[in-house]
Amino acid sequence: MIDVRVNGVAHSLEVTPTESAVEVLRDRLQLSGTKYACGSGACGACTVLIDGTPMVSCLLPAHALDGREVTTVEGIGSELHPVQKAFIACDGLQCGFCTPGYIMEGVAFYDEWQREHQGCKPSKEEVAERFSGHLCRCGAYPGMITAIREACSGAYEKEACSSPRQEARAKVTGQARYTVDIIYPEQLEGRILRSPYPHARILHLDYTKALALPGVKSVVELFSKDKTLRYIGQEIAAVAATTREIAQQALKLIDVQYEVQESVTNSLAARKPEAPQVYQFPYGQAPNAGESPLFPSKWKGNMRGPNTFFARQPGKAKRLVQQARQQASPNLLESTWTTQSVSHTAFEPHACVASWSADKTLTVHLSTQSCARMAHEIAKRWHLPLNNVQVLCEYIGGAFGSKIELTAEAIAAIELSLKTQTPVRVVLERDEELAIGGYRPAVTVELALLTGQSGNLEALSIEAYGESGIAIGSLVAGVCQSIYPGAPRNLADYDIVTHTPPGKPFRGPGGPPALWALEQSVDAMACHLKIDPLALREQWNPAPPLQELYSWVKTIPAWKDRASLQTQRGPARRGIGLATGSWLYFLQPGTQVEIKVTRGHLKVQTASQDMGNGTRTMLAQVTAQAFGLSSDQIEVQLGNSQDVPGAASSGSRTTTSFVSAIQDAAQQLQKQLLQIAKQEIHSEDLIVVPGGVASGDTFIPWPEVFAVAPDLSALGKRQKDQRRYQMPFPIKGMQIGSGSSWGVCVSEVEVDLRFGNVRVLRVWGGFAAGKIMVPTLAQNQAYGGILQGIGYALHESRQHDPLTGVMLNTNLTDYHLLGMADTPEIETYFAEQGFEYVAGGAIGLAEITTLPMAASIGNAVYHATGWRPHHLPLQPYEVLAGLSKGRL
Amino acid sequence: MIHFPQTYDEAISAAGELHAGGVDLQERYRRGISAGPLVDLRRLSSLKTITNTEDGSWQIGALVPLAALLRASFCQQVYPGLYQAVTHIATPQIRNVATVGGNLWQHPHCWYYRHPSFNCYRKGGQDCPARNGNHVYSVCFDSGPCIAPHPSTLALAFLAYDASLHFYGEPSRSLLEHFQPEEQNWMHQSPNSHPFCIGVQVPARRKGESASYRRVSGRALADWPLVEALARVQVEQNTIRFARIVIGGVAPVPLRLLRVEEALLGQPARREVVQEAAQLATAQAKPLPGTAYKVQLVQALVTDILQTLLPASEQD
Repeated sequence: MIDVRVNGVAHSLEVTPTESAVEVLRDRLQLSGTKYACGSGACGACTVLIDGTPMVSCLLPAHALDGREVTTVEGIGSELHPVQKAFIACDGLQCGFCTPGYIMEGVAFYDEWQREHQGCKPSKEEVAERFSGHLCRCGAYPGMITAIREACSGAYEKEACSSPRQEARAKVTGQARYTVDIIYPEQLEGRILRSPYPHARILHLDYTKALALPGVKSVVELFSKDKTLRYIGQEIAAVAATTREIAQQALKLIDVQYEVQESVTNSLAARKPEAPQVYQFPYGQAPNAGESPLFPSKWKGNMRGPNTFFARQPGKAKRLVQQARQQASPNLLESTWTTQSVSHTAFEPHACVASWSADKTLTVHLSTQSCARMAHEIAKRWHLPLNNVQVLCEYIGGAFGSKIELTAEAIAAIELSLKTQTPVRVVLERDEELAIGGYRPAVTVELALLTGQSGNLEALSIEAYGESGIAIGSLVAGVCQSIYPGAPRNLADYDIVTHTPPGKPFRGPGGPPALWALEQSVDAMACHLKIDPLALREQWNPAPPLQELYSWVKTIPAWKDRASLQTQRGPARRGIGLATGSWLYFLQPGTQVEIKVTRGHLKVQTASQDMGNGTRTMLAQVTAQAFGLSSDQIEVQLGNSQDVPGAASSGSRTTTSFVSAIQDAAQQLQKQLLQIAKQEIHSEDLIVVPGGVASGDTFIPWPEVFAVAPDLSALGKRQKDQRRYQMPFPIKGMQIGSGSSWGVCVSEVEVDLRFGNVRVLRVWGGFAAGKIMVPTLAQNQAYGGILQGIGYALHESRQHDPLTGVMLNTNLTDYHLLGMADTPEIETYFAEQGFEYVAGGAIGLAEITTLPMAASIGNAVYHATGWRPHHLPLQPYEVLAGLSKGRL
Repeated sequence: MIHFPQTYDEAISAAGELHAGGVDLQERYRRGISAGPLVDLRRLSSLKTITNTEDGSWQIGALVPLAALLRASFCQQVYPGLYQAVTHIATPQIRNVATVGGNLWQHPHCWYYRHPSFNCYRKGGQDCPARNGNHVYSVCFDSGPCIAPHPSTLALAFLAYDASLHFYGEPSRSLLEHFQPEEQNWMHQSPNSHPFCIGVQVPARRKGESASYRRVSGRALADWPLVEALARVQVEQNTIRFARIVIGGVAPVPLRLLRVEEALLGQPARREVVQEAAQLATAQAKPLPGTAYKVQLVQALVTDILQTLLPASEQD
């Protein structure tokens, strides 16, 4: 029995020897503001104050709370703390899942700073050191650094602060409730039994012993009809019990007999003719690792492809390259590039709480990127009318592409809840999330670039081999279709399947590995031709938005002066590199939004969701602009599948899908409101003006019209673009529009020749994606894309045991996410012209912001050292090996 | 099952793994790689004290949190190398909880050891899956059978400061004795049977010595070291009178580089001397296929850290 005061309230609790403080706070005291994310003390999301000192509650035994005073984010007080206000005002957050941990550390840091250094501002380095025990997967570090420094300097002592993000207050106070925070009375906890083998058949499964364990309520089977398991971690069965610990114990009591089969877990072995085949004809239902539709393709053993959908004159390109090779042309550049696999590892793991009602209606809280589509899939799978299914996701703690499909945590929760007729929660642990929650596949790219005498691009050939485990649909070569148009190009994509978990679409799937190869090859060609790399790119693609970005790059002093770095001496060498990227313009033409007048104000509703990218704020601001109101006067309801079908949060499609739909709804609603106003004041001369209706000297602001109006509603639809779509009809609700987004990243790095460390010091990111609807949030989103790109280039890598294929670094201590101290200075620029034909004027931004980063770092490393890296990530051992072998 | 002994005698007679701050232990229990009863030392308040003795040495109790060590003003003033080393351990929040004893006796940070799917020598198994596996973070001074580097930066620092471990019911021993190769078996004992360390005694500093700690890791902060080093040097009239240099992240124990120390003693404090002596740092290295890079890093790090301790005129 322990006695503990939490947020001023005394509790006496019975705890077990190994229970952690975070479990007690979240599950027993239902203080869900404290988040559990990594379980290894690396991310700091669970930080609370113990007698005023910040500690990670995941590694703090519950019994250590005895006699202590605990403060959680809920205990800060009803008034916002200066640190909370600063996080709101500086937009120091995205998905918000890590935010309460930062706030608690911030409160303690602020208090110390006020005692010792009042009136001064801590340096960026001091802040990074103090917050080194916190990680943010979204990469909202720049806003956080500003927020903490400003709060400590005393800039947020006054009452109010403006909030660029609609839900910021809910996130900094811990009030935002994510799927993992949902607790129903009597709710059961589910855990999943997973395959220990990369390839096996289930011969027999007996769970009577598990069911006999006190507290266990039900067991369901999760394996497929063919009883075949194709990767370590594949789901076999799930248990629901009164506690997570009992459910976990019960997994060990499930007796499974396997017929272990020959397996292949690495792609080199999988390509050999004698390798065991992952799929047999007719190749079953391999999941899609990308976000573009799957096209039919040939199989040969474990290789699928080529997919050449985006190639243009591929035969000619191949012939030109072949001729140049025979003639040993100096203008042919051929190389092989490889990239590693990296996990999405959103801080809110895959999670689902399912609850069936007696009348066969189903409520599913799901951390998903598309509540609308999930409701359809659930209705189909469990044979329910769509009206009987409600999928809810008011807040999502990040996703990055890993939460697009209906996956096992949801199936387990729904099945277990059906059997027990009790709500069931299933939440993945961090090791599960890292290993099977989704990853960007490793890729090998063989690239040939041929130029003519004048430096013109004559031919491009890219053959890419994606390693998506049991999944298919790698699109790497294909994403290079539009970046340098004109010349013949052979773009061939292959999948190599293995007995490993399925890769999933990850922020610009295929883009970073493609550009790692292409943009370094272009840089190498520019060096060979002795042409400025920017000038060469300008020559190869004169698209106006891109030219605007290049003009901006030319104004960056560090870029202009980069030649001055040629004379460096000493062990630390700086270099500047540039890379360009482009991305497809995806949209969801069926997107709808409803705007209502209710209880005297405007409410926007749509079955969409906000992963932290800012959809809620964008909906509020576009609505506010249409009415001439301020966005805090608008209420937004997201994350309810029973609202009108909204856009999925994938393929950078939300903003472009919504803007014209909102404008459409606003226009219709304003017509209705105008009629009401006319009747109200008996004037037929009223017209709609910004902020309300007017006639002559009479001006009636909208809120006054809302006050007299009955409840009204208007349905807005995504309008058609003025140019034909690239893909003439939608597949799974998604279509590809005309044109593409553009990105240019310039990186300044420092390479330590002794220790092999690469540090990114400064980044300039310029992006063209049409009209920027919410500049502050767009900038934050760009920071996140850039920082994830740096993490990909330098730190992140799924590490496997070569013999068994087991993933080894399944915690955030060994799986290295970028930290605040690794965050460079970042400047962003948005080129908004050139997308006027798009309904609403904006296309997607999420993916393009991360694509060119790794390649720009590769080019900068070459500039600094004369060694061109071909393999990612640039860990010290890679860099040391490269420098000793390959320095020019 | 958890015991909360009130006396040292109760602590050594209770069966179970000793529990200090619980940072490392909590994670191992959660992952299911450790189990069994616990002996929580929290009520033994004498383990939480720091005392200065007459000979100028400092005694640091095993339950002193790392953050408290950093806050104690003597630490930075008397043992700057120790101070710098501790600021690199884990993260500020973890240092608020993690203790001196817990850090010294934490289990290795090998990803095979910490993965529930693998067995290994330390878990009672018959082989080391890392040896033929993915061992990029393992030792480059391979002395087998286990190839996990010693995880404690604090152990490296105490070794560099000629500190001694105090035990209850056993004689004290210096870190150097403690980490003798023949003593390395302590690492393979069952976690429940290691001796009850009650504190560490660090001798007074030498007059005019300077010290430095540095690590190489992937990320700027909050990362495990690929290699780390702590050096103490005393220079009088431009002659090196005393040298201690210890490296970590490279062997099953922190390694004192006795041959480098010898090569420095009595020599002029000059760059060439340091560079030549540093060559000896890896004379006995025995890298694994995946850790040859660490040999290169040790060379570079030892050279670098010794150079920073030279008089200003000898630096870059």
